[in-house]
Amino acid sequence: MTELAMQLDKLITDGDERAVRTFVIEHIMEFPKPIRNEIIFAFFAEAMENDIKTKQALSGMINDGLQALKMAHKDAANLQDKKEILNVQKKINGRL
Amino acid sequence: MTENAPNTPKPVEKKPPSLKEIVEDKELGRGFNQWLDGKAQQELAARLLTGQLEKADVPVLAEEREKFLKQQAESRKIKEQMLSAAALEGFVALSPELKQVESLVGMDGVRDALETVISEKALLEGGVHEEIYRSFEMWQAAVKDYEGQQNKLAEFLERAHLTSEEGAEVAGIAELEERKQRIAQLWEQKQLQQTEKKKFLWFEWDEKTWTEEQQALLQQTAEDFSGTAVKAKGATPEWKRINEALRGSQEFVVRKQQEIAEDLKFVISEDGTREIGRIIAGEKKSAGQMMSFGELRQDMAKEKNPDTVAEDFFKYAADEFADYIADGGIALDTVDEKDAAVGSFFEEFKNERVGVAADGKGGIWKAVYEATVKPFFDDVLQDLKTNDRMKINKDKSGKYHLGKKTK
Repeated sequence: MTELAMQLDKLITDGDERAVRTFVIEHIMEFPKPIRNEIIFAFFAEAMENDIKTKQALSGMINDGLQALKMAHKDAANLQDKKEILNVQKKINGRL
Repeated sequence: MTENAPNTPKPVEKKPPSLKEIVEDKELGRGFNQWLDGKAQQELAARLLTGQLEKADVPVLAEEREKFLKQQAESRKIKEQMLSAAALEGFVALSPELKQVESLVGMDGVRDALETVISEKALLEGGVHEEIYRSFEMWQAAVKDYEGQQNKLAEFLERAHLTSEEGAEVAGIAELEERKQRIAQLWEQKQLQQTEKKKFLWFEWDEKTWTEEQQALLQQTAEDFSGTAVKAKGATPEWKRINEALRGSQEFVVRKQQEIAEDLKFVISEDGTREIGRIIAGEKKSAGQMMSFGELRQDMAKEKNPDTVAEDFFKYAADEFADYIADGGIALDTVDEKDAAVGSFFEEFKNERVGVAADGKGGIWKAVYEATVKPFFDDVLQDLKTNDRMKINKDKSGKYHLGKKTK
């Protein structure tokens, strides 16, 4: 086992994912090319998966917010209508 | 005996065909390597060896081949999209690790690595690469959905006259009653802003930044003005009445008139020639250096050759007028009867310089020009033709000359 592999193996055994990530990136050019390619692919797939989750979550949030806005908008419009009706009634009463 | 007969030949053990032989078989092997990956090749070889593959399977294989090629084409398309510059840059930007890798090997290096892995996976694992393609399709769907939601939100906010920040603020308020109050408050503020906006609408002159509403109002103003302008005869009293009418309702025209009156001056240069120039409103004027239209006209009368002076005057005025039109301004100077001669010059030019400049600025200014300036100059020309105090002559070289008719 090479020195590099031993170091990586130790970090993996220790279970510190952040340390593993840092190590892999810091030494990426020292890995054999096929392994380096696999590492790049893994990060790429991870970025894609993360972005899918982010976009899905944001879509859900916007949808919820939009529903809330629509409800508030409808209620505010109703309030305005009521206010107008009261004004008209007030004017009519004033003339009577 | 029979058992031990030395000359009895041993039964020949049928040797299974090699992959090479399968590949070279005219019927079975056609395009074999092109459409079956390593794993499928092994499976096919196994079926052939165990006698499960008959020549009758060929049509089935052909069908499979078509299916495979179709899938391959789809996969290639997805792969191209996934590894396109825009998509790849987007994913790299999302991952701190990929960003660091990219700084070491470049974007092309990242792409090469991914292409290698994907193609190797395709070759060795018989379609495991499909997993990343499916993920990419999911990502595309998530982006589409997200953008769709954003558009819906933007449309709603526009209809409700709310900015995205206000929308986010309102949506974030949990209590319905509080939301309603906040929306009502925002609308009240906006109504106030609208009133203010209308008040100052005509003091914004950059046509490029005009909203459709502003352009529609200008169009309407031009139409309103049109009816009045047509009645003008080009003489001072009529024109003054138009100005009076405008002053009350069409602030923008008045404002533009003021701008032009302040802005357009004749500059007497050191060598005595006159140049029309623009000065910034409020700038200190050196006495004797700047001349207004009226001052220049008075000065013209003192010249030995008034025709030449007039020609210069018209030329500069026409240039300036064309510039104003081209710049999006309207030259609506207050003129008196003597200025009618200027109109005649513009009339000659209207289908050339001025007309072209107005046309070139787009429909709105053309409409303004057609509705305001042109009818005025048409009337001026008519006035010039019917009065017998002024004349315009065109010489053989095509130059115009102004002269007074001798009664």
